[in-house]
Amino acid sequence: MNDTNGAKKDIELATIRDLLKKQNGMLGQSLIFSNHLLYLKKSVSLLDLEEIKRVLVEKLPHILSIRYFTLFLFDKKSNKLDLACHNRPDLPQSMSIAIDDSPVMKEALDHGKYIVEGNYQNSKFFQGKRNSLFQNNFLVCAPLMIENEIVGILNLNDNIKGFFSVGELDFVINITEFLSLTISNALLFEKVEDLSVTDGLTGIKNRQYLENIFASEFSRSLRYKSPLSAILIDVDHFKSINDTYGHQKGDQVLIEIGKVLNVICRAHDTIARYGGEEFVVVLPETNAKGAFPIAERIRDQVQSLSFSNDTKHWNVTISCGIGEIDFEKMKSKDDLLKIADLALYKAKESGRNQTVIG
Amino acid sequence: MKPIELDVFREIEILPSPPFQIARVLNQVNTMSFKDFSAETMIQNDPSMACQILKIANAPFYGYPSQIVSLEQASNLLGPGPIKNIILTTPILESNNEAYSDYNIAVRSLWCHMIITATFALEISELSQLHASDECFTAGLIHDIGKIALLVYQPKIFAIIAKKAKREKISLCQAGSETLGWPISEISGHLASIWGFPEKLINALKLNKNLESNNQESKKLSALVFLSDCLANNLDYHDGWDTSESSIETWIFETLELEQSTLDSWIPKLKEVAELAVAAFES
Repeated sequence: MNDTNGAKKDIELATIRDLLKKQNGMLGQSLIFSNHLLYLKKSVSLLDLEEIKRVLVEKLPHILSIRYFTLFLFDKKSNKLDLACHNRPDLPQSMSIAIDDSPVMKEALDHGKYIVEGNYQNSKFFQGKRNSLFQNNFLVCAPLMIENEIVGILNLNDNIKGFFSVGELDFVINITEFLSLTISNALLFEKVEDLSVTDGLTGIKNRQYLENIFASEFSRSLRYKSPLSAILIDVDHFKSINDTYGHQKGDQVLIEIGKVLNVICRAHDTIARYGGEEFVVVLPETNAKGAFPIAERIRDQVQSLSFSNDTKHWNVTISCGIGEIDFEKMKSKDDLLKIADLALYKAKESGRNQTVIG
Repeated sequence: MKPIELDVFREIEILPSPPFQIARVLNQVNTMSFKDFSAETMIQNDPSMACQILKIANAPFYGYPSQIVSLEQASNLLGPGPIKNIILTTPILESNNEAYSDYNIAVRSLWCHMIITATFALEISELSQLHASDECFTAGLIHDIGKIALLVYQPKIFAIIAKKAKREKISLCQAGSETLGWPISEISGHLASIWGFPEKLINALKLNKNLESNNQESKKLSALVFLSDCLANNLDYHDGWDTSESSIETWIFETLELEQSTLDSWIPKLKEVAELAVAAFES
């Protein structure tokens, strides 16, 4: 009897030992994942999306034990996925794809659920062309979502072992949940930052932004003795447009001028609404002679705009004053702006609808 | 025997689960992503893990102190991560073969009895539409945690009570009341109370029949758990130590506004669900 009890006890102890080992192993793995997650959280708790992307490229493959990954962000307006960051040598730095063009990403986003394919080539998503970059056909496609809002999608290729355990998959899901929040915060921050320097009416930059950028451009020009000019633009008879056709029409004029400036000015020029009906264009690496044809093109284009209400059609004109940096005499951007302002005054005095170099 | 106070159970933070339960749940955790499992399916056969989940969900940290009554609510609140951690940290119940030759069989029966009580509570709540079924299931599942606590943390006293019940051919509850001076169900209620469970659940675990008339919801839950417990015993799903039949007291019928004939008509269905629950438990 005692022997039987002893044998029973031994079997039971062996069972308990095995279970404890199992629990211990799983807890150990959980702790490692928690540490990785905490480490990633510390590294990616940033508001700058570019910085987040840099950290992901550097750390994500190691933390997830994969060779390659791609992170796409969802553009709601175009219904496309924009490649945000990746570590794949076969892909360009940026690209956009329509959701319908990738069956695997489409399914993951449609169902809001991750897809794991141990052998992608045998899956229904395979489109007949194997990527020679990958050493195995392992793929995880995990949507980044906040509640039901799609933020983007994370694709993991080439797991080093060729498969993910359940614990590893859960870890990937934890990471995607965390990344969804971090990226979404960074995007919101970007948007808020952009809104704070954008003129609400015309959609171009506001005076606050201009002050900062103009000051830094001026310092840079002064330091490198590189040319810099500014065009100050004022809408002719704007008060009478408002009085005659109403403020809404006046606003429409300003919006259209904003669009003209966006079209004509170069990528590195800064355009801003300076206040009321005044606009400023800052032109780096450009002297007054170079700024003149740009101002004239703006003036021509604005003159050709046609506005109307129920009874009348009318056009508007603008006057432009150009100022250029003088390395000997000028100390700040305000000096340059003063010259442009004087030139604008002359343009107004000389009959409006013209450009004057100060 | 030196009498014990209810307070000796105050320090208990967690109840263990038997090895067969831990092995089953760990196996499920290992083969199923936590996105795909719900707490109910994972721990619906385990009162110890269920208590731990309710204890955590009712902690002020999660914003609903002493308000979470069911495992379903707790699972929705906590999400899969904390539940997985609870599963991984549940201690293993070691057998006490020195005190009982058939300890493992009895423990298995106790677990089975709690599952059947939970299943009956769920089924009766649906048949009678008297109370939220998820709450009934949860209360049924954990109604005997006092027995587990006594068995694990006061094994000598438990042995005395079990022997007395056997010798005098009385129920374990009666033997417990006579030995301790208070019913074993008080331990369940006491643990529920120190772990921050809602009042409704505490009353149900105490099998409290003396509630104020303005506390009808709570009284119904108590009556339903009491009824399910009696039915589990009477249909031969005893707790491993208790083999006596339980009489269903009048207050249960009155509280649940139930006729004996109605209850009798439910028995075939209850037997059916019990068989399914046992099959799931044994698998």
